[in-house]
Amino acid sequence: MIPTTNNWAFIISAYAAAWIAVIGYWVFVHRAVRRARARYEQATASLARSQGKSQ
Amino acid sequence: MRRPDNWRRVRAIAWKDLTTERRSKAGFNGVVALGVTILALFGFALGPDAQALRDAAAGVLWLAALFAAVLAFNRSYQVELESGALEQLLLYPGARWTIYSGKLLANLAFVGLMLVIVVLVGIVLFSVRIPAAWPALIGVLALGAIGICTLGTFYASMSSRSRAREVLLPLLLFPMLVPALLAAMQASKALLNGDIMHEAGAWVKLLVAYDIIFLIATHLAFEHVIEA
Amino acid sequence: MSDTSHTIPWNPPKPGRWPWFGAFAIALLLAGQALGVIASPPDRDMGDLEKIIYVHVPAAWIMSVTFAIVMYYSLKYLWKRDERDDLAAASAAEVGTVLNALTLILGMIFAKPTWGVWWTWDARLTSTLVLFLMFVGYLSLRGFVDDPERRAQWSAAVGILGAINVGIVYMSVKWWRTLHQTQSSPDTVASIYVLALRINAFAFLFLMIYFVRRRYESMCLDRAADHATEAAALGAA
Repeated sequence: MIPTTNNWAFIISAYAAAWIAVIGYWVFVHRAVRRARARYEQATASLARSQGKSQ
Repeated sequence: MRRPDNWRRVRAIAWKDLTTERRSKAGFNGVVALGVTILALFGFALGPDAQALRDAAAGVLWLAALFAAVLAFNRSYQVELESGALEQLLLYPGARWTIYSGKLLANLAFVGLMLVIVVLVGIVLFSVRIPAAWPALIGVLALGAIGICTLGTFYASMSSRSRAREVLLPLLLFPMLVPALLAAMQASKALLNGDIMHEAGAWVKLLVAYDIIFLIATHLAFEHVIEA
Repeated sequence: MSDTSHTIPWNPPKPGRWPWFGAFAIALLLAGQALGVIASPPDRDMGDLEKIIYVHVPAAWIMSVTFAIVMYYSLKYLWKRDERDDLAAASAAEVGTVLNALTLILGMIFAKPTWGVWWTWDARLTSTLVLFLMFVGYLSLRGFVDDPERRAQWSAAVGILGAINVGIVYMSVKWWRTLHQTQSSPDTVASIYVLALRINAFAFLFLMIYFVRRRYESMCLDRAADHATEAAALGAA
C-alpha cells in the first residue's frame, strides 16, 4: 500500500535521532559528573586545610 | 471562630491590593490598553474579512485577555516585594493560604474588569453578533477568568521572586492553562454561534472541573511556596 | 575535625558499579535495535516503517515512567524535606525532558510518511507537546532560582501541579480533536515484534535509570561542593 522504497530515509533518521540523543546526553552527564567531582574534591581539600589551620 | 477570622484576613488582603491599584490607575489603564492593542494586532493578522474575524473572535479575545492578565499577575506581588512587606505579611499569625486567596480575589476583580472592557471592544472590532444565550457567555467568561487567575496568582508568587520573572511566568503559566483556554475558547465559540451542536455544556463542565481542581491544589501548595 | 560530614547531613553518592550498568544498558539497546531492524519482518500495513516503532514507542513509555519518578520524588520531598529527593526529582525531570523531546521528534519522523504531515493536532501528540513545554518551564524555574531550599519547594509544587495537569490536558485535547490512531490488535502482531519492542523498552528503562542516577550523582556532588566551599570560607574568616 505504502511504497516501501522511500521509507528508509525516515527509518535511518529516526534511529540516528535516537542515538544522537542517547550519546549526546551520555556525554553531557559524564562531563557533569566529572566536573562536579573535581569541584567537590577541591572544596573538601581546602576545607580540610582551613580546619587544620584553625586547630 | 477560625473561619470568620480567615475570611476577614482574605478580605483585608484583597481590599488592600485593590486600594493600591485604585490609587495608581496607571497599572490598570496600561493593562487594558495593552489588551485592546493586542486585539487590534490580531485584527491586522487575520485580515479585514468580517466572516474570518467573527470566526476567530472567541480565540482572539481569550488570547488578548491572557496576555494582558499576565502583566497584572506579576504586578500583584511587586508592590510588596519592593517595600519588603511580604515578610511582614508572613509574620502575621494565621493560615498562609489567606494571603493567596486575598490576592486571587483582587486579581479576579482586576482581570474581570479588564476582560469586560476588552470583550466590549472586541465585539465591536470583530463584528460579533451578540447571541441570545449571552448570560451563559458571561458565565463562561467568569469561569475562564477564575482558571487563569488561580494559576496566574499562584505562579506569580514564585516568578516574581525569581530572576527573569518576565520570561518565567508565561513559560510556567501558559502550558498549564492549555485545558482552561481550550475549554473557554471552544465554549465561547460555540455560544457565539448559537451552540447548534450543543457542545458548550461539555466544555463548561471541563472548565468547572479544572477550576475546582486547581483552586484546591494551589491552596494546598501555596503554604510550601510562600515560606521559602 | 577533618571529617566534612557535619557540613551536609549526607555524603554524595559514589559511582560504584553503575558504569557497568550503563554499559549493559547500551549493549541491550544495541541488541534490541539490531533485532528490531534486521530480524523483524516488514509490517503488513506499514511496511518497513514499523521499525521506527522500536525507538519511538519505548521512548514514549519510558518518558511517562520518568515523569512518574519526578512526581514521586517531588511528593516525597514535600513530605520529608530531604534535599536529595529534590535533586532526584530534578535529575528525573531533565532525563524525562530529553526523552520527551526525542519522542516528539521520532513521532514527527513517523508521522510524515504514514499520515503525510509532520504534525497533527491529535490528543497524544498535543498533550506530549504540552508536557514538554511544562517541563521546560520546570527546568527554567530551577535555572532562575538560586536559593536551594526555595528552588526545591517551588519545583516540587510546579512538578506536582504539572503532573495533575497532564491528564486534564489529554482529555481536553481529545475532546477538541479526536484523530484516533488505530492500534494494531495483538493477534495480527508477530511475536518477534513484541519481543523486540520489549527488549527495547527495557533497554530504554535501564538507560533512563542510569542517566537519572549519574545526573543525581553530579547534582549531589555539586551541592556538597557548595556546602564545603561555604564551610571553608566561614572557617577561614
